[in-house]
Amino acid sequence: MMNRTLNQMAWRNIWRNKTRSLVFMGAALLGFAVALFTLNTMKAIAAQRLRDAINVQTSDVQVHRKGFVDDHELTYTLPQADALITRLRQTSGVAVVAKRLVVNGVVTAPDNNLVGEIKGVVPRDENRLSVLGDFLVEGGPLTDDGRSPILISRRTADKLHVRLKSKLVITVKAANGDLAGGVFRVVGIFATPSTPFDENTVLVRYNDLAALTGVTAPHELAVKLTNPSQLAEVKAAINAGMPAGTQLDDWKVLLPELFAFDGFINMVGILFTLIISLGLGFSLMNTMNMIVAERTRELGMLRAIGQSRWSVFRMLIAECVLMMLIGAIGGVLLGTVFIGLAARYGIRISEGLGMLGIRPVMYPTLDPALLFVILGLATLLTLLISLVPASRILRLNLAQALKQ
Amino acid sequence: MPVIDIQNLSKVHAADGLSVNAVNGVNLQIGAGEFTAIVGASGSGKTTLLNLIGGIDTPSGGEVLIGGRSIGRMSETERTAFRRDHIGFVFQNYNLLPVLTALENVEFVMELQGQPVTDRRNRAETLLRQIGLGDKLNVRPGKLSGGQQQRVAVARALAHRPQFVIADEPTANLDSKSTADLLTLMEQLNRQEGITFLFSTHDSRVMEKARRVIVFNDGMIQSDTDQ
Ligand SMILES: Nc1ncnc2c1ncn2[C@@H]1O[C@H](COP(=O)(O)OP(=O)(O)OP(=O)(O)O)[C@@H](O)[C@H]1O
Ligand SMILES: [Mg+2]
Repeated sequence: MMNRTLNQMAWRNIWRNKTRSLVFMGAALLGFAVALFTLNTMKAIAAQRLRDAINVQTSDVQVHRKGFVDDHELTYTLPQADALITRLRQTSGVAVVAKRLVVNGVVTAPDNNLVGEIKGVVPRDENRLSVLGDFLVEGGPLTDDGRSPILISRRTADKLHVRLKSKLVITVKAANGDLAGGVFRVVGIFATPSTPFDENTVLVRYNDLAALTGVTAPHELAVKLTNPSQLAEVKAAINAGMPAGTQLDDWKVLLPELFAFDGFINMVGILFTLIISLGLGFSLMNTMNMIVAERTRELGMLRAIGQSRWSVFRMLIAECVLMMLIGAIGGVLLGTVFIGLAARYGIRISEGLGMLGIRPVMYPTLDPALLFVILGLATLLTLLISLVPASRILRLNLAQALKQ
Repeated sequence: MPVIDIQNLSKVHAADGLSVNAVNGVNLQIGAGEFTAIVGASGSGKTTLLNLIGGIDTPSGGEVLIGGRSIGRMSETERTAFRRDHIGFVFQNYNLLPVLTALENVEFVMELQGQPVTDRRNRAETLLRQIGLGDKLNVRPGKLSGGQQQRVAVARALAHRPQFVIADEPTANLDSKSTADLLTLMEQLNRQEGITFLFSTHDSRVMEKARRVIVFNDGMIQSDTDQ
């Protein structure tokens, strides 16, 4: 029998028990909408958090002397740094290379002081590599002009009771073992989504910090790729000619908790989808059981007048598929509308999550891959579960069915 | 050669440890063009016999040969196709598909057979007009009376030109007027189009219309008379 007719009969059968079908389709619709919205938002949070951390803090890959990542020792500088920088800049797939000095020190203001990480950066390179400039809330970025500029975070400014143009003293251990201090002037104040970064980091010019510490070779080379998805290839190319005693780390190593979080979000997403599928699956199984029980005589009649077992089975499955599709398509539309609204107006997320590097307001976008995963997985699972009662029709006893 | 040739047919129903010989060594031939009633008390085995002849049930012993082919020896798939192509069914409770219109119900078996849409639509329309339901083509069974539904069921049973039509108590749910109308219709179709009818009943008025009456008792033929 032609599929068109089977589908048409299935379609009309859906409306024989309107309430029951509508309840199921409504449940599927809400399930899909909520799943799509929730998972997209979670994914967007994870992705945004990772992007911020990479763009502001680490960049895609970093080169250090072995041991530096674990212990920021002043003397752990990179050997043959200039040659290495030149080579890196010539490597295809590399967009920007920026050298940094990274020194632990004390930042002192008249009222207060704090211990933190002083980063010496080359303004021209750093401004191309990092998006920290996007998070400036007052003042401007570091430049080559003026005497000893410093960038601090909003939190640090509040803690130290200082403002734009205030003076700060930075005290560090110098190469010769003595303490060295220098005066810096606040030219910019930033606020990134990451509280730990903000509380711990101040930025000064490379040359200023080099003069203060007496260390001229960099501790760190930050490398930004033209295309972050080429991470493995570019890493391999760089690794081929690294001087002895140095190491190359990508963001996955430098930001292990963020990398793990990404995997965790994926797992939560799959679990969530599974739970929704199971709920819908058992609901559909129940519906199918009722259908087979209610229509036993009719199904027996269809078999008697010559419709094959598989054809009757297909007709029942088509009924399930249609209900599922209506629910799923409706759910995707509704979920997309939710996401669209959220993308426009933002979802307010607790400020406190800044500790985790999460922005207070999120603007999620629809991830098509996620859409297909949810649709595919849920539809497949649900239908598989509904096959169980539908398959009873394959063993139907005609004489008994017709007697009912 | 008879259309239906039944040889030493028996059927044992087993339920709850009890077994019933619902059909017990029956021999019977039905020829083309017959208009035959099977009558008998409730529980005498009429339905069981008709189910065996129609390939809805399978025998415990003996054979049902239709056009020389043993319907009990076919695979389930073959038997389904055989029912579709060679037998027409009318049931006591009409058993039309509630989601299809009268026209679509009559077309249904022809559609299962894969007949082209225009052929089967013409055939179904002609039949429905012939049985006086030309104005009900696009009405669903729920909006038809019992008598009208059973007429549609008769049209469905013979639309694909089967070798014979089996009707198990076709009038049991009908009032006397509808019963008379349905029998007139069946007789007409039998006389004018040569359609072989085999039906069961316990209604004596229905029995009177049959040209051959087989009385069934305890799974066996008690009498077999032409009238
Ligand atoms: N599936 C079954 N399991 C057990 N016994 C059955 C089954 N079907 C029929 N029987 C028994 O077989 C006998 C014949 O039943 P059948 O339905 O063929 O009689 P019938 O002549 O059609 O009766 P009625 O006029 O009530 O329709 C009865 O005793 C009945 O109880
Ligand atoms: Mg009966």
